[in-house]
Amino acid sequence: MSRTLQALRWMLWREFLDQRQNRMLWPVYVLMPLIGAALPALLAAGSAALLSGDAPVKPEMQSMVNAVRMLAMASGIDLEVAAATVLLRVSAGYFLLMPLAIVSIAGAYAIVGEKQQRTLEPVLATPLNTNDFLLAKLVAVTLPAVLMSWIAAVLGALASVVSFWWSSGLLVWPDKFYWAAVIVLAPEIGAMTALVCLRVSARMQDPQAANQITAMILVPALLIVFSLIGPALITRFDLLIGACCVGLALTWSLFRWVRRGFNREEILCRWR
Amino acid sequence: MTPAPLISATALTRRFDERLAVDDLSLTLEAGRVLALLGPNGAGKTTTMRMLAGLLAPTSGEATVCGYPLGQRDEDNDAIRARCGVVPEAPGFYERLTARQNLRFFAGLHGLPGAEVDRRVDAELERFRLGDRGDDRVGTYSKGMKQRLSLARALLHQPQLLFLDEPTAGLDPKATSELHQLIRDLRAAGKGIVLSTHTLEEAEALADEILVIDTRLRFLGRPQDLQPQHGHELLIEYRGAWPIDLALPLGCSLIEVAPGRARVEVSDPLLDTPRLVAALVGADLPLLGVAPVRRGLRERYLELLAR
Repeated sequence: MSRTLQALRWMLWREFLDQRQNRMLWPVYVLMPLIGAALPALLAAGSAALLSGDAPVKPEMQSMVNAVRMLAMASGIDLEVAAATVLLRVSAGYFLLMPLAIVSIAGAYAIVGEKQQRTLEPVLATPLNTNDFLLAKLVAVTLPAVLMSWIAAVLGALASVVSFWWSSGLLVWPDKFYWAAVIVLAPEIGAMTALVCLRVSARMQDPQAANQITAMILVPALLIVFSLIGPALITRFDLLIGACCVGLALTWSLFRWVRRGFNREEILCRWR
Repeated sequence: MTPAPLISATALTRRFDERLAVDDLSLTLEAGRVLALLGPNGAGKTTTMRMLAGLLAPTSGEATVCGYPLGQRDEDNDAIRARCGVVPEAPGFYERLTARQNLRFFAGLHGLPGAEVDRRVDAELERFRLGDRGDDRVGTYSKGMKQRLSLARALLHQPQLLFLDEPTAGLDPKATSELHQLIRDLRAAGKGIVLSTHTLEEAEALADEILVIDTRLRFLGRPQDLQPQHGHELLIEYRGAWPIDLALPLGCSLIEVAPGRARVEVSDPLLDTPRLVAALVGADLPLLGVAPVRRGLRERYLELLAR
């Protein structure tokens, strides 16, 4: 096993042990996946309401209604099935928020927690290099959140299938939009959140402050991005794939930015 | 052939922005020797240790540690850290994990192979009498136990060179004595040890060399060389009153007179002491004793810092 892999293995082992014992993280780790597992089913069950009646469509719902009609026309499927499919695509947005929320809490502790416990100096006194250290932190903070998002998304998909079949007698499976968002975009958002957290956390002395500052940076940024391209992401698959590619490039750039900003000497000496 | 020293440093300097932490420090340390760093708080002891352990890059100057040049190349600094054990001032453990888990983690980071990790961890826990508490969370440990665990961690990968930053701070006398014995054992096993301490007696008892630092080097030499190099004092004990009109021989000067005792400084003890005794006897002073005053390490140390 290469030195880097061995270091990663031990860092991950320790991070997971520590996170498992950190009671501050448990409510988030349990509640968010539970909500996530239930949400697609609730939305699928409510798809009838989207199409029902002659009530005027609210402006913010207009793009979704258009998407339903476009999907029904393009695929030649029933309007009701199209509505359920589009709502499932929308519900995938929750699985993009899940890593953001979980990672921003776990990530805030990533460096500040080490500083508080005074473990940074002994860790940095080992032959572990900065890239391995940051990579291990990144994976350790992101992986649990991503795994939870995936598990919740699979459970949510199954629940939505059952729920829709129960209410309408039709089988509707989440389509490629749902899975692309969950499988590719969610880890990217998790990783980007973790990297911003690491950068902020390295300069802070209090996990809560690190958490709040990270949220102040990320939440508005993501809100702006999703309000601008969100409606298009549920109708155009090429755009969704493009967003995944941009996410990958951004994650890489953020890693380099964090690497440049992680001055182990400064962290060692300024922390008293 | 003489083996290369574990540490060979020339004109090491470290600045933090405008503040000079260590200035122009040169030293060497060979295997099986203990170097004690003495100095007031903020004198640069920890910075010196961090530089030599490959944790901080010097601003200028050169050093070779365990055969690798200290400096800008990450690979060299990684190699130095792999050969050094560090006991920091604050032990620093993951308090939610057990002692065994903590040690396994650090052994893994030092690159010990899987099977070796558990063997070394068990051995170090036993060595530091923590075997029966190895599966308890470190958060439940006393300060002394954490300090022992910190030493166990520093020795896991069997380093050539050890940096101990105030290792006896907060330890009870028994634990301190055990630690001193451990340092002697490690020295006998050929390890090089850099020991930062505020306890002068500890430095005198353990170190082969003492380095007094206050940003700049104030003294580097054997503990016995810390004794005064100029001037010697004699303590004279007597009965009755000191003869006020007594003319002391050339080379002797009175420092202090107290009831029953006086202190006299002599230029050359071998020549001046018999002359002084003869003068005192000649003045009919009932002498009880004349003995050299051994000025302590503390006074010499304070004198060095006051320069």
